[in-house]
Amino acid sequence: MKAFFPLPFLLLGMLAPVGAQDTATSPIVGYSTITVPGNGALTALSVTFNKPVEFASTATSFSATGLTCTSATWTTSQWVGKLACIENAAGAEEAFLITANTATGLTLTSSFSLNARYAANAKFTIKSAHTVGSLFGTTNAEVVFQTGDSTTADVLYLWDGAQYVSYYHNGTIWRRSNSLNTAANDVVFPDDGFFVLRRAASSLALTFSGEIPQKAQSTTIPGGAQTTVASRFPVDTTISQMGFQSLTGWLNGTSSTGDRVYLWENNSYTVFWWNGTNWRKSTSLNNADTSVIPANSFMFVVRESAGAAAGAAAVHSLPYSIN
Amino acid sequence: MKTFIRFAALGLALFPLAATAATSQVNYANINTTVKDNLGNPLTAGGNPNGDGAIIQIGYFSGSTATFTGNWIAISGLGSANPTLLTSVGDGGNSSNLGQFASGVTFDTVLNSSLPSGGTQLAMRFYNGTTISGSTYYNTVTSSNVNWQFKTPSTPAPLPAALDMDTSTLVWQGGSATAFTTAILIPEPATAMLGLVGGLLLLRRRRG
Repeated sequence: MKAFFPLPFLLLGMLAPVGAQDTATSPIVGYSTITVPGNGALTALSVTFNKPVEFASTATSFSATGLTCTSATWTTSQWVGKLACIENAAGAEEAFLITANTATGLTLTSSFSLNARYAANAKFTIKSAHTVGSLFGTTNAEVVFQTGDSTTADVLYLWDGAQYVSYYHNGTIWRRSNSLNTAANDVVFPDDGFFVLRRAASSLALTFSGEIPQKAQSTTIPGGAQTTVASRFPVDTTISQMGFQSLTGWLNGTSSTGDRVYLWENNSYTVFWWNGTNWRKSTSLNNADTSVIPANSFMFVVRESAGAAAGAAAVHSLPYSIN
Repeated sequence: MKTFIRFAALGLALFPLAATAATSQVNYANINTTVKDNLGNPLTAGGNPNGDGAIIQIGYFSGSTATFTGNWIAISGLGSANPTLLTSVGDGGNSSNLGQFASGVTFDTVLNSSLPSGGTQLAMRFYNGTTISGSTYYNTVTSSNVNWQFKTPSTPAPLPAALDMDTSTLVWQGGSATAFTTAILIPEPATAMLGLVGGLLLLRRRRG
């Protein structure tokens, strides 16, 4: 995979978008073009650009499954299907799907108790989510991939925590391997990664655009599980900068005993593990601390540490400066 | 935070995949200990490219890999069913990494042959030379650790198997006294033939 990112970032507008209540943000937008090889090649991707902020404020309290913002005057259900991006004590944000809302409350989907992680006055924003359709086109005229049936079309593979779920466009709608309904509106989270199987002979240039992350990012990586983690930023970073080694309960070890990171590159996995002092990787006998994690890629993180908390959050520091 | 409500219908069969090659990767690592030959010399690491050091074959036994019974079926390295998949000492390093290695090899269901079924316990065989004909000793190591089992090839590829010699409980074909040493003599063809003829004669004599 080859990705590039135009630096310095293209600046578009310096004022907050509509709906910002308490805070203003200055969006910085950019784009990345990634070439996906053809002839059956498999490419690992993530989307690191965000949709515009539609609301920004500070919470007044958290429950296990939601937050309250007493100053809000929302219309019931107006935010359903969008993302609430909540900032933790380290200033890193993570996105949660909004499943319901009242005038002052958001109900979120989470695998752990939100009030165990977030301070009552945590900052949050609301923004639209990327979907399969918004990223790759919805109609046959829009879709960028080769269409067809499950054996001929280009395929997207998303890991659901237990297995891959595959998506393809049949020329009319997006199909998902475990549903008879259109899958165009399935959410692709900022921390999601996915494989693209390009069956067509030609390579394909995919261009993603949007707002670049301006804060550190956070990913929940529970113990005893295999989790996808997007590279989170539209620029190259390093395995050390991803910060996994600082995760609470991260298990040091070897290529088979420690918690591990699997990066798909050049048609195979490179496996990283933290030996307590440095990162090591499966393709080298040397220190791997500065090994590059490519922009817009993703990794699997496998935690042997089954006892690690369900809400364990890795903080990925911002790999660039915002002036 | 990812949520999976979009996958509420989990349990339904995935769509079948096209005849795209399925792959399975095996990583092999020995970082903390040195593999030596029968004279106590570290096995050569070759130069900088992978695959030019003392031969490593990844494979399995047709009977039981755990007990080294049956025929040895090598699926990587010189002399294997897939000789273009070179695996050797020094892989992942340079000429100074004698007896060490850290690398991976990817098996492809279209390009490669003799691949075992998923769950088959794998082993590594070390030779004391960089060619099969130039080698005189070998040894084979395996482990019952689940990470030593071959993963069923698929698209996308499953996470790799890990033949990790640094922490796995190892079993050596030559016995524990031969750990990390190529201590088993490779019978020369003439010697092997003599042994075979001798065995046949002995059998005939007993029957007589």
